[in-house]
Amino acid sequence: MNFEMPNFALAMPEMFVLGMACLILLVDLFLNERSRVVTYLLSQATLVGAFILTLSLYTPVRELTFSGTFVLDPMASVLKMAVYAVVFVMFLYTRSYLQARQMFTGEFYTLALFGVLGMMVMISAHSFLTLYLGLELLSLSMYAMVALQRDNRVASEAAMKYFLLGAMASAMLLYGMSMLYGVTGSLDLGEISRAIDEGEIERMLLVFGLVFMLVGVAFKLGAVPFHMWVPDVYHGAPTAVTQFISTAPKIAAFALLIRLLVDGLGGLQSEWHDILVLLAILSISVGNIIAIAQTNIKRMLAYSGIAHAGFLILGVLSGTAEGYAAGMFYVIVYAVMGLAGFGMVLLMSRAGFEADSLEDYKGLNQRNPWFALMVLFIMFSMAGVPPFIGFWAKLAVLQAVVASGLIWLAVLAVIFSVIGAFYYLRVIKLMYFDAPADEARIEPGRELAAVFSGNALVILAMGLFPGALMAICIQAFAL
Amino acid sequence: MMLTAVFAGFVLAALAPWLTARLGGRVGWLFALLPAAIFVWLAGYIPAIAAGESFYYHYPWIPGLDINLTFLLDGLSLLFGLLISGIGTFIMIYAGKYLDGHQYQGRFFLFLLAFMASMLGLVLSSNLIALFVFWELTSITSYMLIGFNHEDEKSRKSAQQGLYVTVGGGLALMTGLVTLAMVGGSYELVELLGSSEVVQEHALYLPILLLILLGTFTKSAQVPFHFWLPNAMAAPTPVSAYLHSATMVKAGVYLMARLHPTLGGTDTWMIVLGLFGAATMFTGSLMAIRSSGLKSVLAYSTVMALGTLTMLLGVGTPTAIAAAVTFLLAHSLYKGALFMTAGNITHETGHKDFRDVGGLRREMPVSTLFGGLAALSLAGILPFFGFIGKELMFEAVLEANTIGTLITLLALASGIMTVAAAAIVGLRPWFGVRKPTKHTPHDPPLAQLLGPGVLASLGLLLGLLPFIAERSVLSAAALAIAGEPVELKLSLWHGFNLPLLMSAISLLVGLTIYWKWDTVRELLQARRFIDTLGAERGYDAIMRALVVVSEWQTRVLQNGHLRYYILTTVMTLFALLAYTILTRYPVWPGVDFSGIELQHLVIAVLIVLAALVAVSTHSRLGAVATLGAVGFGVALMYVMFSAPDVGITQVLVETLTVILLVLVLFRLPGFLDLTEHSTRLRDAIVAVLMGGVFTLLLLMAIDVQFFPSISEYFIEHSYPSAHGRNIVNVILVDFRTLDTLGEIFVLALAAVGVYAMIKLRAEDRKEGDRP
Repeated sequence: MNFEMPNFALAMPEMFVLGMACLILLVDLFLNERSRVVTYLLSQATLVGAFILTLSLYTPVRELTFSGTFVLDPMASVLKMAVYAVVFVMFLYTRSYLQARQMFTGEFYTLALFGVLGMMVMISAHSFLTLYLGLELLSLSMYAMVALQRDNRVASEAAMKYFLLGAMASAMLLYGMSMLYGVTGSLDLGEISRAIDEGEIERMLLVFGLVFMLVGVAFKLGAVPFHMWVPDVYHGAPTAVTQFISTAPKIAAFALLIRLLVDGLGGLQSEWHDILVLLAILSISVGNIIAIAQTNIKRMLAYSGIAHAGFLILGVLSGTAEGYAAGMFYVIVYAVMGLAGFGMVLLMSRAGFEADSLEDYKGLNQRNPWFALMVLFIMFSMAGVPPFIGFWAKLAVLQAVVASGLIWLAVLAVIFSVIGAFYYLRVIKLMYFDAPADEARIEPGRELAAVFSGNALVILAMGLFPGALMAICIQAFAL
Repeated sequence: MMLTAVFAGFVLAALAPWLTARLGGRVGWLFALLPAAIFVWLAGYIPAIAAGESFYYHYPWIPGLDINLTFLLDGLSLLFGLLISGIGTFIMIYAGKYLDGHQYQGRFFLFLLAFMASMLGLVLSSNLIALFVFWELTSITSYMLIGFNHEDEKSRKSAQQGLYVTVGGGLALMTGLVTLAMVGGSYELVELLGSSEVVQEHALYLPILLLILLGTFTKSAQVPFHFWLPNAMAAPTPVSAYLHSATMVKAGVYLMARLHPTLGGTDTWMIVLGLFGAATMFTGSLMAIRSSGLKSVLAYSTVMALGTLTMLLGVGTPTAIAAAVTFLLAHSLYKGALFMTAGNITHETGHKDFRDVGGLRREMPVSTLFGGLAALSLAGILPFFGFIGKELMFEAVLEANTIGTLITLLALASGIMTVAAAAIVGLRPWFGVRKPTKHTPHDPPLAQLLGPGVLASLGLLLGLLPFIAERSVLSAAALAIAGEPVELKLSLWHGFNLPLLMSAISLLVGLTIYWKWDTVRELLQARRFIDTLGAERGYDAIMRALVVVSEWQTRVLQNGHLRYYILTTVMTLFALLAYTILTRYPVWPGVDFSGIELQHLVIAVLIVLAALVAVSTHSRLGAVATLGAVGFGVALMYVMFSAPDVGITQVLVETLTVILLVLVLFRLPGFLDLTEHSTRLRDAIVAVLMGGVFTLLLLMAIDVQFFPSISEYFIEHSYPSAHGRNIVNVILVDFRTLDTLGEIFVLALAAVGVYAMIKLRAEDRKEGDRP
């Protein structure tokens, strides 16, 4: 094997984030409670810097480096920028929450940044090796973040469950990868794809490897029946961490799905199609139905996230460029809505009080009509009602499903969306038509209020002008 | 100009709270200027459109998805646009006075203006998706309007119900529209209208039709979704009038009419629309005379009208379409007037029930006049426009072939009951004995009389001079629905014929019913089964069932126990693998036992025995030790099949794990609560299934010829490249250096762990404070 000098430039953002994360880790050691804000600012600067780097590296073509283990294509650039943006907003949201709970520490920020790095590696992975590396870096960061409040029993239990189930899922993913490696003789996604297309290898083992890998991926996406960790973790983790876990990593999980199934195993589309159909139906149905019985808003949003994951899978399973673009659109939109959804929980909570019960939203309209209107935007968007952005995401996915001839599947998805609308609309009913159970004034910091309002208004604005994001997503798969 | 017309409403809506706070109730007159201007602007198109032209506007929106803001102005959208803006004008004026001083009047105008703009957008859009966006906007804004009276418990529930039913139907509609566009090749109505053959012969025609109808039926309150409409009556009166006369509920009818050239004309269309429409018509009129609330009688008679329109669109003959447009216009005029009049009664007297009011004609003479005129049109009495609509309706159902007899009977029955309902509305409050009222009533001010007056007078005017309506918009609207020119022949007198006889019968029997109304109503209300049959019960039952199912699923799937989560995961994996084996590779692997020798068998048996002991023992240490034995057995296997390096690693790892486990488990108490037999049986089954699938997998994998064995390479290159004669050594330290390093690292890490544990125990013992 000849050693070829890799093109380091393509991985500039990754190297930058890694360097900065290590730097922040060090700098944080010399800071005290009062000067900790430096950590926060440096973290935000890292994300901005990475955004600029990624933007400047954007090319409409596909480039490989590091012996073919790393890829930079339009999809990677766009998804990475989405990740930076989402995490940036997440940091904005959570600062006051963390400060109020003695969680405003360097660990939170460095772990989150390492998680971001993991996502970036996943998104740009072109080999099982890099894919798995990125995935584990992300997962380990998240396990630790869930357990960040060590004295909190619920959080510790959630972290333990998350870790055990996550380790099991990773093991299955690895097992599947090893089977594929055994059959094709390569870890490189391109090589594997070529080997499958040549058609001389045993399909049976390929398919078994595929099944194992799908289980792993489904777990990361939080698709039913591998979703059990989602509600427990979303509920148990501090809301700030939940907001992180529920948004940006979904974008990375989408990339995982595309890299594995499309870039690597595109030739097995007829095989994975059925399984994805099953996962999608189960996710949409179970997610939407169970959400109805929830009285805890974080659990409700968790199930809503599961149902959304089902929709995301629907986009991918059509197996067309339009479908992938629809899936990508969906996941970005979901991240924006997820930010707002948990942002609303952050907004309502105050020191010593977590506003995670649905009861807390009763009569919000009387307590603060502006926030009630913003929550209304978010709920309608999640339910998929125009003119909010959630509608376009659902529409794009349904279009892709219908275009691939699976009308029954589209109808089924719609039936469960109707059921799903029930619990979103219930929140609106609670806000507008019930008497407040808690008369305390809602006084979020100015920063938090501004971020939240901005986020909700973006949901509306993107709904009125969804063309730009849609064009970007279509462009990403136009290669 | 088109864009301005549609979006001006939204802009004004955004300013509404501020303007209302500044100007108070007078602001209604100001807001009325917008719909009035739109009305005038639209009226300017009448000559051209009556001559058969249509106008198309195109503004790019989301080119990536092929979705643009395109507008189509033809007879049908002109008719609806005129109704929306015309009635909207009076509603604005009316609401300014009616809600004068109300705490949230500003917010009310916000939603009302936004609603009006959405409605205009809906009827003018040519792009199906844009149409759908406006469609859902009307749902949302009307939700906010219906639930406007926050404090009222019933108001809350019905707002929720109305929104839920229409949003649900809306999602079905969206799927239908997307599919229609896929089949028809475009989202543009103008293009779809010409592709009826492609669509109707496509295999997906039926799903498309049913999905779209689901959307329109929920919106237009057709049986069995009719229940939400009367419940929505909790809304403030001007809203009811606006929502139920001209607009939102007619959106469904509009869409059916709009898509008639594309989807209509088939037997399915005819039967589904005809039957559901007729059933709705009958139910609506029956429920109208069964209720006594001011607004609920009117609401149910609206359900009747919507059913009639759906039925006529289903019949689809030229006469039926002529009847549909005529009936539509007539209904909008009299129903708007009646709702506003009913609002005036409540406003003046404080009563909301027909049983509580009577003999108001002296105190409220002008209201009596307008209410009476509108009611006469509703009843279909001779010189009024409602009469023409009713005659045409009878004529159309008599012509209908497939299900003609049934719908004719239903039409006659509801005609009778409609007359009774009209009498209740038009006579009861004004004539008869003066009943005491909460407030002293008198005629309301101009703002509240203008609407009823103009609309009711129009009903009379158009009845006397029907050609005005026909020449201006109705012919053009009928043309747009039918897809070909339709001769309307609107006139009051058609000679003595069957429709006239039916009118006469319905008038006589209807008045008889009114005469005995109290008895009839009580008789009907005593029939409780009508309530139990009601679809609302179904709605409630479904909602309750959903919650029950949801809670049950939560208990089963989300009980918080990690072991069940793992169980589910493992079983799903098993099911997926088993499914794959059974459906794709149902070949039993051919296994070749020839290479197996005695020593292999002995080790294999030992492994199996050790595993069995491990699962059945009652002691932790025993389980750990036997599991270790399994590991050592596997290591022996490696050694025998010439992989000594792997064997050594396995032995080391196994030793360390056993030591670690022993050290950890030693600190735990013994097994206390052993699982029950049933649980163990379940676990055993899961284990056997999983083990079985893996065995099968391995057996299948054995047969597969992978790429050439790597050992050849090692043998060949061992000496030349690495200068080592012992190939195993070379592999360990040269070819797989990194592997070896990793293994050493893992072992070292485990050893550190063991050391820490032992040290910890030693310290514990030294301190002596813990066992």
